[in-house]
Formats: sequence, C-alpha cells, structure tokens
Amino acid sequence: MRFRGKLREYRIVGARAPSSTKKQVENIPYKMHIFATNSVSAKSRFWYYVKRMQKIKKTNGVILECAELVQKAPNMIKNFGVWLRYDSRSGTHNMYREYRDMTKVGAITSCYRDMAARHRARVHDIHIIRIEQIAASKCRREHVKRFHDSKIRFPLPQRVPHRSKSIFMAHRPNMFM
Amino acid sequence: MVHEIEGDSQSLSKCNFMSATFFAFSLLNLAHCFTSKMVFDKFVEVGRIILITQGPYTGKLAAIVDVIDQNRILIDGSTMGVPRMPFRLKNIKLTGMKVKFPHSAGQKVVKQALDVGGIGDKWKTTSWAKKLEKRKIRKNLNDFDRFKLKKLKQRKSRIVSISAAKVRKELKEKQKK
Repeated sequence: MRFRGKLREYRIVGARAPSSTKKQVENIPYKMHIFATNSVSAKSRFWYYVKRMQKIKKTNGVILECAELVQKAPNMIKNFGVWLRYDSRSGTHNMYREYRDMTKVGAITSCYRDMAARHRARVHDIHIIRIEQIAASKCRREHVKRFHDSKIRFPLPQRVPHRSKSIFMAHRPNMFM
Repeated sequence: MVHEIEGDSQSLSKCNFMSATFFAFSLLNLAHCFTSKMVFDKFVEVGRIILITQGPYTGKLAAIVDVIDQNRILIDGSTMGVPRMPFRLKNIKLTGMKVKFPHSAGQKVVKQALDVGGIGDKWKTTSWAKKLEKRKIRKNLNDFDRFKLKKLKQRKSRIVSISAAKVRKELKEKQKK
C-alpha cells in the first residue's frame, strides 16, 4: 500500500462467498477497521489481512460492507496509543507508540510518517494492530505527557522567516520574537 | 610610528578590559533574566492571541485554546472569522495580546472572552496592525495612485524645504546681528 495525503478510516465486513459447487461451509463475516487513502485500497488491504488469518481470499470472498467512519469530536485533543508490528531490514518487531492528535486518522498518519522517519519503515512494512484513545493518566511516553499541563507555556525562540522573494534584503531578518 | 603603535596597544588593552566588563555585565544580565524577568515576553500559552501568516486565514486573529504538541496548537477565532482548528506554530505569529479562559475551553467561553477583551479593536490600535494595513494599501495601489502619491510627496517635500530655508535664513540674520 502507498499513501499520499490524508488517511481515512474504513469499517469493512467481508466473508467467504457462498459456493454452489463446493460443500457448504459456515460463512462467518469478518469485520476490520482499515486505515487507507480510499475505499479501493482499503478493500485490498482487508483481503491482505484476512488472507493471513483465514483461508479466504478475494476470489472466494465477498465484501458485505465498506463504510468510511466519521472521526469523533475532531476539535478535541486526544491521546492515542498505537500498537503495531513492522518489518525492519533485519526482522519483525512489535511496537507501542503514543500520539497526541485530534483524530484517529491524524494519529495514524503521523504514526506512518514517524515510522518512516525514525525506522525507515515503508507503509507496506507496517501493520497497525490496534489504536485506542487513552486517558492522560495512562500515557507512558514522555513526549506526550509533557503536554499534559493546563498551564503550559513556552516561547518560540528562533523563528526562521518564510523565504523572501528577492535574493537580497535591505534588512537582516529578525528571528528573535 | 612607534608612538602610534603604543597608543594602539593601550587602546587594545582598554578594549579587552571593556569587553571583559561587558561580558561580566552580560552574565549578570543573564542571571537577572533567569531570576526575575525572562528574555521572552510572548509565549505559546492558553489565551494568547495569534496572527495567522499562512493559508486562507492569513492576516486574521485567533486565540490559542490548547497545545497539541510542540509543532501544533488548537486555535479558535470565531469572532474574527477563524473556526476552531488545529494549526501549525510555523504559520502563526504571537501577538502581545492575551485573553483569559481555561485550557480546551468550549467555543462559547472562548467567544465570550474574545468579545469581552475587545481584541479586534485593540489589535487595530497597535502599530503592527497599522503597519500591515499600510502595506496592504501600498500593495493595492495602481499606477495612477502611485503617480498621485509621487506628486503629493513632491508637494510635501517642497513645503518642508521652503519652511526649512526660511528658518535657516532667520538664523543667519540673527547670527549677523
């Protein structure tokens, strides 16, 4: 999977397709929450995961539901815990990461970016196992806990101004505010 | 020649002494800063009024409602035409104005605080806002406007130079007497 731009959250339900020729087997529906850029790649990702866990694939399965989920309270800051596994150059690792964001998709987006930056993990190397909103008291990571302060206050010490259109300027930019 | 060099060395040693005292003073200043007054007077904090410098809301004001992480804040300027949304710290400038409300306060509370603070009117009186307004007017001048401006400027400088000449003449006459 590749992803460019914003991720969306999809709820996908799929099952083994009923077959007339073969012996009838129980068609248990499987539900999964998938983060993808569009419904096409979300469905594709669904079959990728289901294939690994059950003996069902796209050719002998049906999608019963593919719904994009609306993000809850998008104007409220939340803490998210993300459990994931990823393939590095030398092996497979499980990981727990924390993000502070407004939405689940926002947290997952920054998670993918973060994994790419810190671990050089590509999008197709990462499996998001679980994402959960967690209470401030349950947060473990220092970079998230640091912002749990109702009287938080910090300056912006050095601001790099937006690049000027002209090469030469009459005045040296003021970076100190 | 030798004398000159001596003089130079003297002044050099003086310089060293001066720089040493200056250094001591700056150290004292630094200590002073940490103890009583901080170097910075504008902080990223709840209630701080910011000026947006990038995107469709450029030039509008909003208040900081909460801090998401070190790069992003939650802003709200519903009375100034800016809806509540996360915003990058890179794309804002901190102003000297502040209003009071608790962190992550509801939209109603923020709106009330902005109204009570009279932020819009206060902003218009600042030299920063006036400068921005002037820059905007300058930018929107057409060729004829610029011509008119040139003519007005000429008229102004003529008046100034004539009256300055008068004063100069009077002074000269006084000196003669």
